[in-house]
Amino acid sequence: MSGYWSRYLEVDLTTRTVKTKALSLELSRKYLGGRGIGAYLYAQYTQNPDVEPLGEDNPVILAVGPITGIPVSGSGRMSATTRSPLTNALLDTNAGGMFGAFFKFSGFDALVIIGRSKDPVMLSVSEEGVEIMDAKALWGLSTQETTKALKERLSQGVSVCAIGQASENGVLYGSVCVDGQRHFGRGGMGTVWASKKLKAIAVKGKKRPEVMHKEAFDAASYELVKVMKAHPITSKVLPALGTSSLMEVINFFGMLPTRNFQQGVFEGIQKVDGEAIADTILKKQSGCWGCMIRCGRHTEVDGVSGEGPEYETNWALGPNLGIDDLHVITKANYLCNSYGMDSITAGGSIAFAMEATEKGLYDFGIRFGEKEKLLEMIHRIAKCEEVGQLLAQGSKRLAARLGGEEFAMNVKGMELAAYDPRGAKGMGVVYATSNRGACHLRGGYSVGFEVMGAPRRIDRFATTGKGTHVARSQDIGAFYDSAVVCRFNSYAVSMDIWARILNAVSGTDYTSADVEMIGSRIHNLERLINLKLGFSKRDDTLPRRLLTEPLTEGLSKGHTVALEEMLQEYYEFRGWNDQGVPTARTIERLELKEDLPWL
Amino acid sequence: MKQDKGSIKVRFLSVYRMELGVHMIDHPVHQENLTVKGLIQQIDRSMEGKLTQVLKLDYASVPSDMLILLNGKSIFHISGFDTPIADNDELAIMPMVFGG
Repeated sequence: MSGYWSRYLEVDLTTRTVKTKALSLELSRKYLGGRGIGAYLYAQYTQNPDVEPLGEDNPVILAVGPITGIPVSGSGRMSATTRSPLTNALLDTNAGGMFGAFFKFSGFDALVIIGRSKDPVMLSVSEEGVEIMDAKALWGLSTQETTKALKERLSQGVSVCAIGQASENGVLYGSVCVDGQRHFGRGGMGTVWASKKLKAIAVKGKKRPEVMHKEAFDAASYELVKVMKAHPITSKVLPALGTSSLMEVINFFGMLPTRNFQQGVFEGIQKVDGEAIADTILKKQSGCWGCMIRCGRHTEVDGVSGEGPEYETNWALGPNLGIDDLHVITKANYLCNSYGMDSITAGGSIAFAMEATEKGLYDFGIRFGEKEKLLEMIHRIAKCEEVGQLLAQGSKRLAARLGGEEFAMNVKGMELAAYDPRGAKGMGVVYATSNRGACHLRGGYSVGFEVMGAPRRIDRFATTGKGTHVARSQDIGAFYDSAVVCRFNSYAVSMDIWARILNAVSGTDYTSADVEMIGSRIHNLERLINLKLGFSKRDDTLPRRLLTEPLTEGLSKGHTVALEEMLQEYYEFRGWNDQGVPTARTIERLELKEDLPWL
Repeated sequence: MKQDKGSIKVRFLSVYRMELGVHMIDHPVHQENLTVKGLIQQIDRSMEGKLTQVLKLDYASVPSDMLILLNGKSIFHISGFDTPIADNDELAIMPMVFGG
């Protein structure tokens, strides 16, 4: 079957051994690749998934999918899976750039890293396999310095994933940076690498994946290009303004979280939105491998250039901190990139600190709007110095230690993203049920149908129907993360087109409904792993603020989230019992039992 | 002789703001029984056709890639382009945007 190499690499950093292993087509059909294969392999490698996140037994799985590296827009991404040190839940995280496509060209579907090295190491992956190399000289360098050093040492033609000082110093939300620009951002993937003394992976390859049915592929990809060129989001809005085009619109709806979700309208929006970026700091657009959209922003501030900010970072380090200075936000973004740190959780943790300071709970020395202190605070977090050591643990641990749980804006320990669910109720279910914690993407991104009206227009304040829509949206998202393709294409490209592309590449005969069912299997597998890790219905909740404090101004004024009724509908649609546990019938229908030794 | 009855605020967001070069206009109301379609056509005339060109409207139905909100509520859920509009109303026109 094309689209797969049917083999993966296993690297044991303890014993310094490398193996090439087979990956059956049956499993590839069942879990597609990327996030799906990542969850499957995680279950196999741990047997009992309850491993210490920063322990030797926690595996890291990097995986591409059948569409990765195929010449269609958005096919350059890759997924990484492990147990998160921030949330203790299963973590999958997904990055763009060149790394995914380059990995596919090396001729492997996945790389599983187990064990722990005594000294810093890096991996060099190519068609010949993988080499474990000394990385003592790289330890302590930033993500960009590491990338530059490796490109000089190996070849300018390699793609590099690297951790920075934040992960090395123990920040629980350290990221893995792709070519100094993009990130496996959320949940502390970089921190797990650091615990294994794994500094970087470089990859190159020349093997091109084949397409099984070329004529069918050409027809489907022609249609994909046509709809992407015609759709204003993929042809106009994202290229021109990047993801920060959302800033003004979400703010207009009164649901842009402001000052740690105390408000839904930010008064300084026009100083930080997508147009402000285009008018002031944008040098050029940037894009991932083979991308038609090119939503990335290559910017320059005070003579320093870098990537970003995109929407989430712009919000997390801007409006959510009461900061309207685009130069400061961008510099803070550059620092997060350089140290290798999730900007959403960094911003959420600082927002907690600002509110705690203002409420007299604990003096972190920073209040909302104090932009002159932001950069210093990020340095302290990355170095785990002074109060930075506290903030490096994320808002859940901060609240457990200091109090203030009602304004610790996280679910399952992961900080919320830039959409206040009081203005789009389905986002409450999204955050509450996302398997990796409060993630807008893993949870289903209901903003699409609630606010933008795509694919159908649904009242954003209604609760009926939201559980069903969110569950279906999660399943489609799991397909994207497993195939692996960029979700931004989905705004223009239908699931029918994607099913046709998948079939043409890999010789399957899936319908869009089949593909959705595979997504459901992957989501349920992750849920079962999390249940085994000790998570339960009590974790499918939201910060108290969102449940009890109505927004006080703007177009979402007066609203809170009535989560429970949406949650029960969600459980029912999923085929779970009222405690959020998949029933035996659901497990059987999705053919999951045989793949979970501990079930 | 027609008399001005008041005005309607019209906001353009995201790429529409960029392409039209205007964020908000205060459009004077000259007539009763005005609809969203009538208002947009009036503004279009004052912009010498640029608005229709940017928004690519045919007025048959609200385009699926566009949001038009009257006082915060989508006109799709009211009467589309035939939705009545009155003095002191606020209209917002924006493209569908995604990201994150």
